[in-house]
Amino acid sequence: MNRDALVGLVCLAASVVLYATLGHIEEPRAAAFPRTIIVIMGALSALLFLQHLIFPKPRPQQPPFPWLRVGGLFAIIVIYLVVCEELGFYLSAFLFFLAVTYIMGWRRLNPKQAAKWLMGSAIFTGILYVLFKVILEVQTPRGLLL
Amino acid sequence: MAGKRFSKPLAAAMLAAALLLTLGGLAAAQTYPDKPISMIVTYSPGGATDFQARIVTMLAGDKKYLDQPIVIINKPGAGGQVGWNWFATKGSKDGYTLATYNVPHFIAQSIMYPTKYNIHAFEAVANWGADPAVLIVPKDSPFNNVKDFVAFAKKNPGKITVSGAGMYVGHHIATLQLEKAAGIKLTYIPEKGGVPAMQSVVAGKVKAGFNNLSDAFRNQDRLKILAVADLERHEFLPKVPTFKEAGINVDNSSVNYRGVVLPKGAKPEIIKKLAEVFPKMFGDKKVLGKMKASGSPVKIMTRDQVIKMFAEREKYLQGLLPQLKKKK
Amino acid sequence: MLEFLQYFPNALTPINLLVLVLGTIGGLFLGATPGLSPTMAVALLVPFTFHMEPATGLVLLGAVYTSTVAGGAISAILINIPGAPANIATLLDGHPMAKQGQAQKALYFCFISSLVGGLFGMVIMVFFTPPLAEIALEFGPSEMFWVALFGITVMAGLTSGSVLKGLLGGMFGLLISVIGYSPMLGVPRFVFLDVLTGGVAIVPALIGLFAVPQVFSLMETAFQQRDEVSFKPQKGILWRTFAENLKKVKALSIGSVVGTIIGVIPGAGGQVAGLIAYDQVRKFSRDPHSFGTGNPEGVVAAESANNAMVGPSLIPLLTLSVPGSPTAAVLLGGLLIHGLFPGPDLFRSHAEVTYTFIASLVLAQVAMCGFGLLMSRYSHTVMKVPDLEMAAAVTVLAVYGTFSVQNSLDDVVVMFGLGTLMYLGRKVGFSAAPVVLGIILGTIAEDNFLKGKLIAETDVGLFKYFFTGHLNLIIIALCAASVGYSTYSEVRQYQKAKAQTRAKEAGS
Repeated sequence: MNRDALVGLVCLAASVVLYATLGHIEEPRAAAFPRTIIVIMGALSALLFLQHLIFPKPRPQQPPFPWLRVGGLFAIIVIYLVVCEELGFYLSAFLFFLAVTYIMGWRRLNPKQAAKWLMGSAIFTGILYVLFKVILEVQTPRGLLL
Repeated sequence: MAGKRFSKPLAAAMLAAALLLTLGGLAAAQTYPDKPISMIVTYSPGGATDFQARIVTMLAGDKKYLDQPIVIINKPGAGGQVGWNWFATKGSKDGYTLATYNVPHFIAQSIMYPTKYNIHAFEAVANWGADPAVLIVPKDSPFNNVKDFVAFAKKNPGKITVSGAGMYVGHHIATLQLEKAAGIKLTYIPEKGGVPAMQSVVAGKVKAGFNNLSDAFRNQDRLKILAVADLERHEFLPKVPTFKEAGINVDNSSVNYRGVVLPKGAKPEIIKKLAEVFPKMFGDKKVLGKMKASGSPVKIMTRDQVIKMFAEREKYLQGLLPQLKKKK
Repeated sequence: MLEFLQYFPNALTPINLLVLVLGTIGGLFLGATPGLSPTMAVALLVPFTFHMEPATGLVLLGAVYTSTVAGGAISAILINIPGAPANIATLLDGHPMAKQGQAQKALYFCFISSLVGGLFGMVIMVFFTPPLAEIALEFGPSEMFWVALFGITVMAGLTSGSVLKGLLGGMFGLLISVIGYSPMLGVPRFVFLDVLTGGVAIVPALIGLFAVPQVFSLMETAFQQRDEVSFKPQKGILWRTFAENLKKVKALSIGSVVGTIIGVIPGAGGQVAGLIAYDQVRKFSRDPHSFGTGNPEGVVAAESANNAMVGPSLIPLLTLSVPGSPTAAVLLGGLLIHGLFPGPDLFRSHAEVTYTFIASLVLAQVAMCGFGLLMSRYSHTVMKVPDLEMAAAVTVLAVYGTFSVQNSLDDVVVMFGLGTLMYLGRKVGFSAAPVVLGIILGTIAEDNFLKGKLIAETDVGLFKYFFTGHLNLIIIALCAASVGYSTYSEVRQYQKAKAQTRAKEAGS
């Protein structure tokens, strides 16, 4: 099946599921607006599905998707979000920057580049600290260190 | 001998250590706070609660008071529920996280919704302001007093629209009380805050409204103010009668009290310290000047008075609200 | 007007000028930092004004208000992340321009158009405040409902791809707006997770929808050889761009007028002025399909509109105390702290402070343009940051910016979740702009409909309430025209494409 037709089908399925969850809302007035939108969404998805089923458009060949890089970054961000409250904002930002550059850029990693990234991370975190903590006195997640 | 010689310094050391510990404990209580304190405001920046909170805490950094600044953090959402839920469950109990409260909002919510807080989840510190609800109508309205208003409502049940700042806030409570006391039926229109609610009245989009006395006072050339939902007339509006004077039994249960609380579980020394300092700080000439300039009515209450007020309001609202839920 | 001239010199005292310049530069930098919203910048500065003279404090807040909105365009153009909802329309064409090596030119267009639009809006404000305040007061629930509906008709035009997908994205945004406790009815809706109790606030949504997909895209291309586009500063393009910009009379005037009108509508969210103006300019263009691919007219329209909005949005704020955007709401707090209450009183007993504030806003427009142009010269340094470092830095700023809006890690989770979803959506042809528009307009549409229904039922009835009255009819007509025109151009486009393929087939 054509990809866009599939997208239409997925959206249609999502609309049906969302419509089903509306049953939990007691107050009828509170359900009216979301219900209308979900119905319109369902109709649009059906149209999208039909449009691409009947008039499929040829898609240009796309380069292979870099799963490893995008997935890797996703994982690092998730870890960052989990630990940032424990470690405090500035320390976790510093470590995150290092992790992204070192892990995702491991192919380019050499002593000179490593030092450069370390410096970059320190300078970036330093600027953040001065701007927000010292000048603007913003509250950030308090953690172990900063 | 050796033992004796040895034991003396040992005893002395132990004594010193014990002394140090006690002193240290005392010192910890005395040096609190030694870093900035956060205060959660459960409404968006720019609203009345937010800017009043900023004014009354502006002197916290002064040596006379806490010697440490208070930083305002806004956690708005769901009429304050998001902020208070967070504060009751996740607020740190070390005295470095405070929150503002709005009565009757939070008490009414704790009765009507599955919230994670009620009056027992918080330790009262002090109250800084009280803003009574007033009944307002547009300038060109045919109603000139409460009598006209009630008479019309009796003939036309449900035909009078009354705007207010949201669900189960003071304005809503006042509307409910008025309906009950006068035996009339009104249509309450909850808005997204006091300002839009005021706007609907000024523009004549609704027939009447309950709003904050301070806001009505500022807009008085564009409105008619029919009555105050309080026990006495207010100094800002000495000509406006109370509901009781107008013959309707509506008391001060809808008055919007604003103040500061700590989460349950905070240390008694800390509660004591803040409960002593805050009323003094709220009463500082500079604070009072700014409050007056911004048209915010001040009412300073101590911890004991606030605890009593919480309990009274809860009792009253528990009687008033469930009947309504059934009526729906 | 007379008062305006009389008090104008007050804005020129050394201290006020110094504050103005510092506020403008600081505002441009804060606005240009992805993840930091203008609302936050102004909110952070309110406590600073405690200890200043009221006039000086307001000069600071006004300068920051003006310049952060323009600063947001810098990150929109250079790294495809808008600083505020106001800048979304700017990136639709601004970022493609930057990718083609015309970043500096796009920024010049942006600041010059901002100045033109901004001054237009200020002139309207200075001359027409009393009559426009009357009009603003006319907007009740029914009118606001139609305004929101008009905004929804614009959604289809904000994607360069499929109209159906644009509308689907918009509906998704409308649905996001109802998450959490309904403010009108106090009922929770779609609270599948605890973090959703408070609903999805606009700033976390904006950051998530734009920054997160951008971070992942940067990662995709991180190690590819870049196309050698020259990012060197080009000399002498300032005056050429200036002349070129002023020739775009149509885009400039549509942008300025649309921005002004939307600014006056109380509470409509001046946030959407840029998007609506963009759509109008596109509709009136002879070549609507060049929009979204780097047409400077798109940048001109968006930026002239969102700065034209600044002055008029102060009309409902200063006369009725109804803020037109979240930033204006914070500004209102700043006014109240200094004992300045919106209303007629402001222009009588506090005339000096009020008019100094207005004068400084005019000056702030000029300062913003001047310093903005200066900063644009260094835009190439941003474009030179390698993708990997950029992805890391943007993530940190996005997390920080989201957190600090209401000090909530829940918001950060919502931001990242929504962003990941948007990344997947972008892969299959959805765009973020209609989703944001949906989030902003959803609450306006629903609340006003429910309010209108409540009022109508006590009064003239639903139909009469929503379909009578001049203002209602005018806005309904605009909605109909917008839908009609979109359908017409879609059909024409379809026929054109068909004719082309036929001609091709005949040729081959």
